[in-house]
Amino acid sequence: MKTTIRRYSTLTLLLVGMLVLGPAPGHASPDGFETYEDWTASTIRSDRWLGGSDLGHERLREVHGGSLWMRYRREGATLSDVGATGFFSNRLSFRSPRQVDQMEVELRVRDVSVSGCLANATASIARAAAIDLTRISDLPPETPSAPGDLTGDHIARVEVRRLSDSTDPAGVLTVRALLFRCNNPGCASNTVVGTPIVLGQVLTHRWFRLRLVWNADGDEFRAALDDAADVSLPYPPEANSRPANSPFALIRTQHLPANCTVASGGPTVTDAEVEVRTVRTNASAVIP
Amino acid sequence: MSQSPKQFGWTGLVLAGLVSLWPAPGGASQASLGVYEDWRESSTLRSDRWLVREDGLNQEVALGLQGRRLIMRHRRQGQTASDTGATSGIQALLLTRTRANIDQIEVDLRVSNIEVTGCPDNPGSTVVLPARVAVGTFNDGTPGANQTGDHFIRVLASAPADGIDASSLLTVQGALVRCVSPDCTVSGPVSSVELARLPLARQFTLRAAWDRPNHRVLVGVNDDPDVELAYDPALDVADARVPFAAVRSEVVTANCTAGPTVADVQLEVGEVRTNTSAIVP
Repeated sequence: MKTTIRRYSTLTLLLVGMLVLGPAPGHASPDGFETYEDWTASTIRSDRWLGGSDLGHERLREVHGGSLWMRYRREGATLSDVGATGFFSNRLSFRSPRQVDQMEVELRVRDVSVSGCLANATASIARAAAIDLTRISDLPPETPSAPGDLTGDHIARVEVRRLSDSTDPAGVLTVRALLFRCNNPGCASNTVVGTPIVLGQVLTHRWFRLRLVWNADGDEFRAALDDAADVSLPYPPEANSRPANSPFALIRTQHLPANCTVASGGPTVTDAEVEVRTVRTNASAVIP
Repeated sequence: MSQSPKQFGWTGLVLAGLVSLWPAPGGASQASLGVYEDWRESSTLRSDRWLVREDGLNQEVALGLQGRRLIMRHRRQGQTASDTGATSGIQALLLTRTRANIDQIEVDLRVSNIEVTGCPDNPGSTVVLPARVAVGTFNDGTPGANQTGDHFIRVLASAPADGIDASSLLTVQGALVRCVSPDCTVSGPVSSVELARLPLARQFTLRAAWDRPNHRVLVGVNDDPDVELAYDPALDVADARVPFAAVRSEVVTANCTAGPTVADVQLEVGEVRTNTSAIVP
């Protein structure tokens, strides 16, 4: 009975608080957020998700106890001490990305490790988690594009990352939002639109929420961490000349392991494991 | 597990024409095998020995070490828009640094979990191919710079389509296969032979070797004698353009309007042995 009273009290407090404070700033959207996925099925639903990953080493995409676990590990190449071979990822894509105008993903980083190479100025990057939304292209509508060609497509991203040369305490990752244009079919060459914005930092083993919203009427994407106000990632109107040729909305773990010869201590290692809880989108994207 | 008369006839032809039971020649291939990987030295995959590739469309994957075994699991649910066609998901464990140097491979394997749910209106297409061991060999001189004309040895364990139970058996076939598309996503057997039918849950060993001087490949299961598949020496024009050696598993799900089909497998990879010259210390 005491528990019931306490629950009612808490609920009342919450309701009063919501009425007084109203919706958190930046949450405004035409139809709000609805739960797209809460992992109540014991396996990943094929009508909601598509999986995929790049060449690498250990990987994981599985539902465990009401959340999605994702891991991706990739060691770097050992042929040189210069640069990096590229970004590699493990991803889970929304089945109908054209329907996704906004998403909010609840996450926690279970583990992250990233090592660099003393002989290589390029730092390794472990993106423990990133949410991507690709909806617009700046190519003229009449320009033909091959299926899957990302040239001209713009990718809005909120990423949670740690670099091998980070001076942050162990277990601290930085959350950034950025918008970039793909300059070639695979998007290995790209140009950042504006400047990446640091949204804050998160700790391993702690839950947090990433939010990404496409505001088509306002020529911007909006991004946020937890309950902070959205920040704007604006783009010039001509960046939205037509829909993205290769639209996607996804959750991924992505790494850039620096090259490092064995003589210099290589290979470098990039590894991260994350847990994904509730995924919310605009209501029209929800698949019952 | 039904086989058409045509399939039986073709298999019989292969058996009569190309295949003979052939003990490992003086143990030549066996004697030079060494341990490439026993998963003891590291708690993670060694990149100087391995690279993992995922192809097709899996929903779930899990690939990592558990004790002294590598666990490879993947799962696909089929699409529900039609009752025709099928889609596959693949996980492949590629031997890396010395792949051009591998002409013999032997792998200890076990299927620790398998699930197959097919579709009555699209039968025969929902299947799990839990284990395939493959080694590239030669190219037959097909013009171009791509994989067309590359040949490889394939030893494949496959489960029955559409559904399995405790009494189901894995069928193991050995084959010499020719790539007929530039990236070898399309290929066909030059010769093949059924090697064994195995209980689902039991550990087994798949074996493949290329005996180039004698224009033959050798395939085998467990302690059974190797089986020889001979080929026309004129086919061996050059080294395969894309040499490779790999262990992989594949799940294929039929499209089904009545509900999603399911193909799910967990494969345990134990010790991997190769010719000693391929071993990465």
